[in-house]
Amino acid sequence: MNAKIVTFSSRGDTTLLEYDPATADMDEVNRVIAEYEAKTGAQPFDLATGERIEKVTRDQNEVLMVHPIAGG
Amino acid sequence: MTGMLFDVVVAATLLLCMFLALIIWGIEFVGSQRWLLVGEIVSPQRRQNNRLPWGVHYLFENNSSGTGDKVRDQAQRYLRRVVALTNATQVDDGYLLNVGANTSRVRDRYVRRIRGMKDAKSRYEETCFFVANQGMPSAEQIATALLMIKNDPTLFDKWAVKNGESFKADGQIFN
Repeated sequence: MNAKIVTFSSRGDTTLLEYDPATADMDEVNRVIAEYEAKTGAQPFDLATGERIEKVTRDQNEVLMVHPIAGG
Repeated sequence: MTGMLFDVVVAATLLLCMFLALIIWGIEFVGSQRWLLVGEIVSPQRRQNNRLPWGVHYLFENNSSGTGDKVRDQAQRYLRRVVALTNATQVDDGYLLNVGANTSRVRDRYVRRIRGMKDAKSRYEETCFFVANQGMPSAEQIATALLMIKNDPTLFDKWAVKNGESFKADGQIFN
């Protein structure tokens, strides 16, 4: 089963990245995530546990990039 | 006579070659212009559907058909998942979330601190919040807030005190 990096967006959830966790280059996956975070501020959460993760590993099958929140 | 015929054949061959070269050039030029156009469209989405040799597949694809109802249904499904993950409880006008000594009620664009004021860094009881991603369905905004508060309840004080500043899930300001 493929693993997915998804995010919420105005057009519904969006898949940013899909890969086979058994064979994928996880450095490349984390590089894409870091780039996305730098651009949007979104950070990865494991959708199996609801916890924020520093780095995505092969154990995570679904990761949600959570966008920043502002108060007011 | 034979010499003249030979000249005509050579001239015809040369003309044919030039004609073919012109056709090939035309096809390549139009093709390159078209790819340039496709490249311009695709590049902001960053290598859409480009399968890399190491098995990573860039998609940037929308998982809904884009219709309002489907987007809302999908957002609701994610919210239900996040509510279950964070052990939040649905109440009349939102979701109750317990994290340690804190209890918050999260509803559309508002978070109220119900328990945990004693050790709080600010005196605020309620703050509004918004996700900078314009137009995100409210169910997904609530799911985002639930996940963030569950992981770091002190974000409430940051949202309340730093009006208009965006905070990442790790509590850092995002400009």
